[in-house]
Amino acid sequence: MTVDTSVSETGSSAGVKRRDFLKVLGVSGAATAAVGCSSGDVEKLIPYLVSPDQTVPGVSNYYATTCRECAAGCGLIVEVRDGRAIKAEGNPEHPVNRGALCARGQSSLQGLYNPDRYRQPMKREGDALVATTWDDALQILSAKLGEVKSRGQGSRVAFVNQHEQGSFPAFLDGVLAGFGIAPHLSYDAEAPVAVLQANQAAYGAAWPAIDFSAASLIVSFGADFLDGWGLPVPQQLAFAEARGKVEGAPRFIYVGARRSLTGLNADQWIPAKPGSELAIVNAIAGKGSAAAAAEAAGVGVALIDGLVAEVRKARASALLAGGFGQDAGELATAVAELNKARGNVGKTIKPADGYLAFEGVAGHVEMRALAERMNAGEVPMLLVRHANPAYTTAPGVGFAAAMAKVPFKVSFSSVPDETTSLCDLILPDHHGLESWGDAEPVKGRLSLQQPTMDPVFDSRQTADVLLAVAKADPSLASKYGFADYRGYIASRIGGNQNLKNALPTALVSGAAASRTAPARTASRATAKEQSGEYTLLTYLSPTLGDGRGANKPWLQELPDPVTKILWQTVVEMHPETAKRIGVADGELVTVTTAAGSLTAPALVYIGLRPDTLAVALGRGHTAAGRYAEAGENAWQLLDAAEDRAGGAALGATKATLVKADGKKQRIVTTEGSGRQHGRGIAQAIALPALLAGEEGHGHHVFEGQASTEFLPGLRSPTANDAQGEFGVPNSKDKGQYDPEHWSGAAKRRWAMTIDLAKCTGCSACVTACYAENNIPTVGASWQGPVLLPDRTGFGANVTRGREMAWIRLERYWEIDREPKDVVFDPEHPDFDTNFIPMMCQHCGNAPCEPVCPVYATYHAPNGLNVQVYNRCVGTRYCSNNCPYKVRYYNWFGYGDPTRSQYAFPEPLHWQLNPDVTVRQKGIMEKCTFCVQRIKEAEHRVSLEGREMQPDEFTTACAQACPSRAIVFGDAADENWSVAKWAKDRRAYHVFEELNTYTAVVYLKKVNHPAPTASATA
Amino acid sequence: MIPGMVAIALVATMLSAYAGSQSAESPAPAGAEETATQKANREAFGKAKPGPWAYSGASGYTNYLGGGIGYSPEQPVKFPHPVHVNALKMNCAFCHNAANQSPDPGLPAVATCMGCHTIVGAGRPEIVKLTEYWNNKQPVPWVRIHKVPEYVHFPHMRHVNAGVTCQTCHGQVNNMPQVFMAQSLNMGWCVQCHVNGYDPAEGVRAAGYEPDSATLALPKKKATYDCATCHY
Amino acid sequence: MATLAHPDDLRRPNIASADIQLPAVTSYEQVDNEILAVLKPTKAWFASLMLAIACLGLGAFSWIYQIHQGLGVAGYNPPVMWGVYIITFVFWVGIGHAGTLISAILYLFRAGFRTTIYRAAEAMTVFAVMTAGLFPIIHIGRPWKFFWLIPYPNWRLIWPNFKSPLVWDVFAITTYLTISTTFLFVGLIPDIAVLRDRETNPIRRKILGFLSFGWRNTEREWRHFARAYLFLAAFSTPLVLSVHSVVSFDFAMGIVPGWHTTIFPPYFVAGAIFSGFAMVWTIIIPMRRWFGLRHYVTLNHLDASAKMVLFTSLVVGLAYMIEFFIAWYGGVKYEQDYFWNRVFGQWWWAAWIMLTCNMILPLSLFSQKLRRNPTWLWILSIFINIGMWFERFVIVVPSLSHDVEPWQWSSYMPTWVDYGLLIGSFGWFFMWFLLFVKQLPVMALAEIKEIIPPKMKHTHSHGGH
Repeated sequence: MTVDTSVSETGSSAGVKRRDFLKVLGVSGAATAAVGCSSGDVEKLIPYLVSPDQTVPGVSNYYATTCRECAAGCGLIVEVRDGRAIKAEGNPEHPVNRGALCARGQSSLQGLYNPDRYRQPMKREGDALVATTWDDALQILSAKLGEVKSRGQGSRVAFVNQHEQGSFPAFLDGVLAGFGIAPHLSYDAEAPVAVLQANQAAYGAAWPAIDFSAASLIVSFGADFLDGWGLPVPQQLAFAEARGKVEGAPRFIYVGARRSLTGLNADQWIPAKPGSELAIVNAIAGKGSAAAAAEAAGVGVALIDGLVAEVRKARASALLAGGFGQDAGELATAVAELNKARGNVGKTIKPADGYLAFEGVAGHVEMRALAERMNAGEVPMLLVRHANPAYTTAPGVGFAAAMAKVPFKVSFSSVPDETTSLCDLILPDHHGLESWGDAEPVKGRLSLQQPTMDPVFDSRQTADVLLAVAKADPSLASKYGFADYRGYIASRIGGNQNLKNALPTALVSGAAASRTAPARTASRATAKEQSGEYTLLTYLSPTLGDGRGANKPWLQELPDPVTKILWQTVVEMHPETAKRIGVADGELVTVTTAAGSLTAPALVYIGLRPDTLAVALGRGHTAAGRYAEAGENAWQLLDAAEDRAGGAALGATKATLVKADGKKQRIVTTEGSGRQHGRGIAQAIALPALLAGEEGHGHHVFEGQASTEFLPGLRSPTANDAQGEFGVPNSKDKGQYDPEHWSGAAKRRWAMTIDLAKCTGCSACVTACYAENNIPTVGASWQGPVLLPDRTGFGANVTRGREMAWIRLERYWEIDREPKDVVFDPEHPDFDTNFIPMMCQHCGNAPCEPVCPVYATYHAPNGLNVQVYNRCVGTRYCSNNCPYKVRYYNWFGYGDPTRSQYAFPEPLHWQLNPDVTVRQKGIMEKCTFCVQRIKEAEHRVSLEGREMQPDEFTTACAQACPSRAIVFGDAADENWSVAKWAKDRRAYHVFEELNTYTAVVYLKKVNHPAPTASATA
Repeated sequence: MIPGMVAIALVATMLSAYAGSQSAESPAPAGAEETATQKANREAFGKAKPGPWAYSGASGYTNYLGGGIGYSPEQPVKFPHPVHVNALKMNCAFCHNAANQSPDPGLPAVATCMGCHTIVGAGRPEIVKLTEYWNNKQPVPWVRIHKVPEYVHFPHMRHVNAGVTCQTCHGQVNNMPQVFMAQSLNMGWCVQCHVNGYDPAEGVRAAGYEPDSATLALPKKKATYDCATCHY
Repeated sequence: MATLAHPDDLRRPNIASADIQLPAVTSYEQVDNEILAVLKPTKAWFASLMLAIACLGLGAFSWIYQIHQGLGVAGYNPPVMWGVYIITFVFWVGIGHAGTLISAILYLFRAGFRTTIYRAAEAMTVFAVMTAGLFPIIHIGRPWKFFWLIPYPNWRLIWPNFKSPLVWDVFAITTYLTISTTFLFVGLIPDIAVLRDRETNPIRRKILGFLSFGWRNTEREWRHFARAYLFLAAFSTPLVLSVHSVVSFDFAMGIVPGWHTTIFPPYFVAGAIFSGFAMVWTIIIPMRRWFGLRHYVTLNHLDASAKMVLFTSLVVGLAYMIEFFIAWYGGVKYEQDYFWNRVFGQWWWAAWIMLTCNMILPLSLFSQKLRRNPTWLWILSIFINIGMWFERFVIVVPSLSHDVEPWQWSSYMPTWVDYGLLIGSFGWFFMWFLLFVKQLPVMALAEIKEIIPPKMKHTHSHGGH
């Protein structure tokens, strides 16, 4: 029935390097015991051949390394158990992410264990790519490079690399130079190149640090610093820190046609037409009239006046310019000037401690130029690594078609994608977690990258491949004194010993090898004559980025923080727009631009101008693996227009919108009702009200009801729980529920506080929970019933709301009507949004407990509401009775490898956490407060013979949270910070009138209304 | 009502009896000739003292050679515990060195065996087998004998460090020519000890020694018994 | 002593009157011959049996497929975690009520009109409960672990949670099944004896002899029989009330808006009797026509039972109204939202089917013409069965889909598996009933004989010769 997380004899296919795996597997007795498989096979115990030093079977090792999922270069601590990387967490000492980690960083593991990874080198024979050996592949590569060199065509060969910081780019250019090849193009479709260029010019730093705490006002002109613009994690840390101050926290105004996640976190929204931001900035700078700006922006002049006044009044403001309009460069420059004029530079905008993430990044224009050269047949050889220009460029560029004109194409990508599938030779690179490397995220600090485990497949690190090729060439061999790339890294920081010493934190002072990006050759492309009554915003998906995350089920199943859409591409439009063309949610519409057209279900979104449409990029791949096929490819709509710096203008395409012959698709969303119906779930309070000591709205007080004041620990209502005094009022023996019980079990009260003033709704906690708790993803089309699946093509699971996320991010609109009936008022376009993470509340008086007929769910003395999987028979009564609806049911055998619904196709199951049961078909599961971590901590302290220290450990969600909004601990012990937070003046329980005595305490969100009037009320 | 309930209870008991016995290997053919090893086992089994409590939960529900008490599969290499433990006086923790620091007791790496056996007893048939594994760089695929029921977390170190003797749960492996299962290791059996407590003296007796006065003075060790102690 | 009246005479029978006559039935032989004639298998009977078994087959396939694949093949849409299976479970338990009510309570009240219908009703009860009992098992995620709900000594040293209404269900259902089976069987003993005496095949004769406990029709046997029957009637009377009350606790004990109300036990019991009588009609009316038993189940009987139906319908209707009143009067926001949603929201159609079938249509029974019109009663019975199924639907699905947490509000759409099992349950029920009518007398010979006028003074009844 259930799957055995330890790979048994039959568990892994030929693809996996069996012996290496055995070598590291060791005894996984604990793992097997944890997840048992009731198959009748004789179980084998596979010992080490040679036990690796400082490894104890069944005990995790932790390796510090650097995240390569985006350009930021955050620090990772990777948990490795019995030779398998099982969890990625932020490195607390790292200057960039300070221990936090975003959803994309979390899911680097699913890149490592991606079932569609290339398992060995491939070469093209006819139309097909066939497996080959490394010797063969390297020979082919050397031969081709030699050819190029001898013919002197080197200068025309192109190497496109996924942009990354550190020494590798320089190293790469060095090797290429040896063959007379020009420096490579470091391409990143996510980089806001216009802003980088403008910042460089204005501040002398491409990406200055933004100190939100120092600001009294934040104004973002489409700068989505919380969803993928720049370096999400450090920006979110700073922003949440600032907003968490409550008093003296900055007010935040968002100017832009679409409210992104960043926009939803703003206190005020000014829905300016795309392209009108510049006019508004000028108005603020006094270079233009507010009236004109309002005219251009299509909003009430009062809004602009207010904005201008506020900025001028602000003590210190942080003004940020977003980077994806055709005039992004001009806008960024204007905003930078404004910042200087307001004296913000050095106060809130800190060029001194800026980030180097985007040094030498190439933009859309370079890809277009390259495509033109390829079309002209000037490129004898193309090499790509991880970059996917065939997918992430506008169709006008015609990159894929141009590649056909290149005689020989090599890819070093380790996962299939549109570009690699067109190549003739594939030399799969190690995944970042298998590789050596370094990054210099901030000046003078090197963040090292080390392998966390033996390679999963027969791949090789590109640097080493290049080294081998170079050494094969006698004329170059002499230049490379070191054995491998590790040696190179070591030599850069002064030898092996230094490297060894640095590895525990993977941090060392030093600088990455400097490089020179190739000079821009082509000039920007300006928009063709466009028609269309709508402006189309194709935005980078906060979860999938430019599309590189699309083959990771965790990210596909992670609802978009704004639209809450998963596995699907929708066309977002304002309710008015939907009414105009007569469509409702889910009805198919066709968006047509000069570049192409796309048909997808409509979704009404109130945070969008009626004259604007929005479609998320990143889905609808054709050759990027089994999960990536979901949805539609919005890049196909993109006009080849570019901004001043040659970045793709994602937000400047004109489009027409028509209803597509009345077909309908179920909207794949986790949202039931987007409104609270006055039930006070996610509560907010305006700062003045808070200071005046008023209660926020939605606080329920009922005459004659038991006090619902949160009293932690033994004085808490846990004593009243189903097994305690309420259960057997006059029992002599309360057993372990007795405060005086020798075990002291009842002396603890595990609890959690969540500060909604900090929570931005980014959903990193959700993916962290998936990673920690072996939560299956259920959305793939093949994961539904085998006979007669739903017509939706979504496998009947996500369309029926059966996703398993133990923690979910609820996003509530504070509006007085259904979203579909919202009308756009240019004078008062604003509305509030409240996010709230909802997971099992571990009620002291839990409704789910008394109804379970078999005690599968019961109350532990330490306050945990425990779900015993193997006792559960699946009556689902507990879920019915749970007011918070946080219990999730295994409708299919997601953990059973023999089933089509299996959620962890090999080798994804290598990631499974051996400490957590893989749940079987037909049972209920839910948030456990990471009980396995509690147990681990208890084991640790008992081994070390000491008491548990306050805040000694925390849950996966709290660990990952880039807002630091979640605090977990023992509320019965004053020394744990959770105990202090639980008594905060903003603390409240959800549905406290139900007397559930929850162990999760929420702290009200704080709104910062405009100083003058109630602009945000 | 009464007859109905009785009938159902009977059915249920039988069902649970069935569910309780999940055979890990097809039982030996009836009336098969008793091998020398089995004979030795039977005798060792007779000698093996019961655990520090009378109750042995589901012994009735697990069947001989069916993953229950007495289950004793043939191992790829006939490793003689008695020789190593009794004759050579090696401590259990010498090979199972993680037992006191990890949930997982650990098996000796093949290299550990070869540490001695490159010299000692090379040429003996079993050692030759071992050496072959070593030369082919293949680990020895030992057959698992002791396994707590599914979905249970069993942290060895907590028990070892609490002073529970290995023999309490594993029987006197040091007297087993071929290791067999000495206790049922099912839930009732575990809970029994967690609730009533572990008697150190009995534990020592189970190990085949006479407890000294100090041990006899020790109180019973109890453990928490709420479900989440082991099930999560 | 009533005169031989015409079957269609229009006397107003009193529900509680014990002296309802069967004017067209004159002799014991006639009783035996006519009623036992039913036992001869016919083509129509075979056909319907095959149909029933076919439906059962569909159900069986659906269940096997569901067990293999997982409950995901059913239409559950979290948080609607209960669906067609629980609805159908409550539906059949409800059906199961009329039997015991008719045979036990009406017996104690000496309501004469029960005499000719109670045997069929009792059989119906047993089979309905047999059907209902399957559904909790079909419904749970790991049916092979069902026995964990039953308290028995086990090697895990743990018991079920006696606080859980689902455990109470196990007791209630098993108890009810045991009692109603016993009651049915005891009532059958003298009639089995009649069969035995008429049986020619020696083996069948032996079996029937065994089943009739060698009944010899003596004074003493009759005295003991009557006592035993009375005792069982008294014993099972409280069950009629208890079982469905317990079933209603499954909902009333939850804190789900629309479930959490104290009115459920009486409301469920009334509903159960209501639906039970409807099912009795569904079965009896065709029977009296096809098997030519019109002069046993007379219009007077139907009229009387129609009054019961009308009464229970009014009770149920009142309960509906009270639910709405309490939701408004209680002032709990969640309840108010839910009940508004029930009639005007997402699920309005289900609610209105329920109200129409259970509240409005039965009002027609105020007209005596319709009360004495078997065709109309039969059509009405079908409507009531549908209505009562939807009553449970309205209780289960809308409540769960519209719970206190708005973010999780959802919809529910059953799949072919749900429908397959629903159809299968009818197949299962009618299979048993059809087998029953061809094996054992569908009317209580002995009791009918009691109420027909003795022919001569000097002969007194010998159970059939």
